[in-house]
Amino acid sequence: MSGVPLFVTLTAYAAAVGASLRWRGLRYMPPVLIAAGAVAIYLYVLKMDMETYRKAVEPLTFLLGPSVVALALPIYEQSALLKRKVGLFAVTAMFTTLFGCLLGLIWGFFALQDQTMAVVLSARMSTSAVAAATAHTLLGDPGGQEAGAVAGSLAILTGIIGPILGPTLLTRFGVRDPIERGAIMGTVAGGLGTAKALEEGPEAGAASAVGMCLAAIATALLLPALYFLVKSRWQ
Amino acid sequence: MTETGLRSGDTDYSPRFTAATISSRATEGLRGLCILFAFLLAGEGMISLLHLPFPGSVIGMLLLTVALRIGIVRPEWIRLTARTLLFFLPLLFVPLCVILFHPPVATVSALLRYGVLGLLGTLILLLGTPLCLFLLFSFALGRREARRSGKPE
Repeated sequence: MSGVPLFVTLTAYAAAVGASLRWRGLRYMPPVLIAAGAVAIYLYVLKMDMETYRKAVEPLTFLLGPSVVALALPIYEQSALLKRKVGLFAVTAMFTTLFGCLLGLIWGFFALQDQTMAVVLSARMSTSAVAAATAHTLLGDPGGQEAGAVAGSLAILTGIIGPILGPTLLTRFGVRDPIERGAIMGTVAGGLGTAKALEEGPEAGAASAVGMCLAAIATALLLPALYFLVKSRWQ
Repeated sequence: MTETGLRSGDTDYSPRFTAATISSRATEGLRGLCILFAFLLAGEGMISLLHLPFPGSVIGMLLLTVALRIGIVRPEWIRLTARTLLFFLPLLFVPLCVILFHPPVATVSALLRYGVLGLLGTLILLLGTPLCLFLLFSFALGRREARRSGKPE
């Protein structure tokens, strides 16, 4: 019965999409979260552990790799539009990384007094895979792998806020340009933000993919420097 | 209802469902998938050779963008597959998000080590940072937009 978790995941997602189309009250909750909650209840009721579930839904997670590669198509198709906003991308990526990483480092070093937590809390500002890799590289091998896993799951937690509050906040403050909306969603909320931005349209999706990419690169390049700077103040 | 059994709004799709079009679409989709996997593997090869702290898929995406721009890969070769995969992108994130409701032991023990105050502060930091960034960016951009649209009046 190894196909059941996959079936449950697909059904939960289809039902969540259907429900959010039908009831307007659910529009602030992304279908991803509703489906994930339903799957979590299923796992809890059947007492299935995460490892078994992860193995069973491997076909889905396996497709995540080619899907990220596929983001090259909207970027290529919208490149003329994206080129006009180079400054916007640079500023959002740099500012997000500086602000997020510094806050994480300062809280980790000065409040929690823990080097591992400082790295984990600052690395999570980029998309989950980069967060895991950066944390692993910075901490070195004893404990680095585990810290990487923690950073990855915290990156997902950070990205959750994007699809829930991002579009509403952007609309409320009058940001209507799809490129600007996408760039912010991607840089701040990574892959989950990009998935939401793609629902708004191809321009927002492409901008979001570029934003996610730039934020990941900025984190991987800037975080080591910021880390040693804050660490030297701490000691 | 038409004679094919489709509703009237669907009739323009009916030519797609002949055996010939299905097999040609399937071939197109497979070709796209092969190209995407080739670039994914190229990206993964690059990071293992150069020891970059990036996921292979992001490097693969950059390589494919370059290949599309210089014309090695034509956009119509991957369009069907890429559009289909991107349409289902949120679904692919469901297994990752389940981790939030079933967090790994390492995450829980790492967070619990700091007691209630540390845990609360960390949670506020985790969710508050993106919220602050959204507020800041949307405030700044929204004000700029308002200024710009106010000028011609």
